[in-house]
Amino acid sequence: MKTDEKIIKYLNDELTQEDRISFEADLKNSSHLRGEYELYLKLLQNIKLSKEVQLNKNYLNAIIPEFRSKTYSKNLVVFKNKIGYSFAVVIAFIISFLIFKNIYLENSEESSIQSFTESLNENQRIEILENLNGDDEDYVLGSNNITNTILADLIQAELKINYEIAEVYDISYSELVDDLSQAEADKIYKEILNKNFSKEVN
Amino acid sequence: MNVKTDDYEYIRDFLSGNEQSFNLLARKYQEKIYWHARRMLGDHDDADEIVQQVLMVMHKKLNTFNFSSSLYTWIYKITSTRSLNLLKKQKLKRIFTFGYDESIGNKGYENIIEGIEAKEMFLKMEKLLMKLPVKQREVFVMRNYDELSYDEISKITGKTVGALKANYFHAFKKIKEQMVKDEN
Repeated sequence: MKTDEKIIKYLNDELTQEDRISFEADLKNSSHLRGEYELYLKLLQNIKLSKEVQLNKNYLNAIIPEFRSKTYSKNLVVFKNKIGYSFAVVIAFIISFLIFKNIYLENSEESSIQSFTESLNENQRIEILENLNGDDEDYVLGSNNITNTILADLIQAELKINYEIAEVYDISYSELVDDLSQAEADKIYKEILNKNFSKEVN
Repeated sequence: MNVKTDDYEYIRDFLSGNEQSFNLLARKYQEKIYWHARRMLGDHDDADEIVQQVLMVMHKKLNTFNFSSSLYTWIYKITSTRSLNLLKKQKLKRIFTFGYDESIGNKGYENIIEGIEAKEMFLKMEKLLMKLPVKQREVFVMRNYDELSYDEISKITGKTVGALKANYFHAFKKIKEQMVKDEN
């Protein structure tokens, strides 16, 4: 065992009783060992003295208030973040609501036309059929219940015209219909017939 | 009522909503936290930062505290880990920052420490401690300043008693040699 190791173990009370007695005997006889041992003792003495320092009372008293103010400001940031997230959620909800409302209105428009056609009596349906199959550009409707507007609605629903977009681009319904070729118009008429009046036709 | 029971009472009180109990715990351990961090980091600002961080962790995580161990060990573990992390950060900063000035620390803060003779010795010892490698410094501080046993240090650091003794031996020898060197 080297000198330093012996000294440190002796100071830490880690030597066996036999080694301890031997070390104490060496201390008396060896000036080198004694010199080294005294350096370690001096170091321990310096450590002991350096431990006597005190922290300034003002600093100590300020630790908890500083901690509390940090906790408070942290909570404030968390609260602000929560408000921010809540605002974002509300905005997202409003946007989703508007989108779903549009989809719902579109569907309900179609279903209202469907329910209208279902509400017609047999004569009225035949009247519509005759008009749709006729060669005239203008529809001639005998019944007051079936107006040109209603018929136009049926065609518009089939064309799935987006009114809002049409409005933005300043396109009127008549312009859209005018642009249809005869073949396209025929196709749409047939689809209307099949969809709304197939039972009666068959 | 012993210290341990006192701590447990404070913790229970705090966990049931009494912030004053937390203040009592903080006041009890704040100096121990400061001195350990200060001896590990060698700087008042860094030590102060560690104190605040440890209090923050205590406040947030006391509900996870396992009552089978002592609060003292638990706090020490947090303090030690935080101090080592800060040292790692500073080391990285030194690597990536050109012209990093180590002498910046402690300017104007020495009035924080009181006791004329002891203060002089404290600063002298602080310089010596800073010359030790971090692992050796940690064991040396825990043994000689915090007066912890090897078993307690082992619980805190997760190292074996054998490894701790080896580190302590090298630290003790090195610091003695450095002290002699400085005096000559």
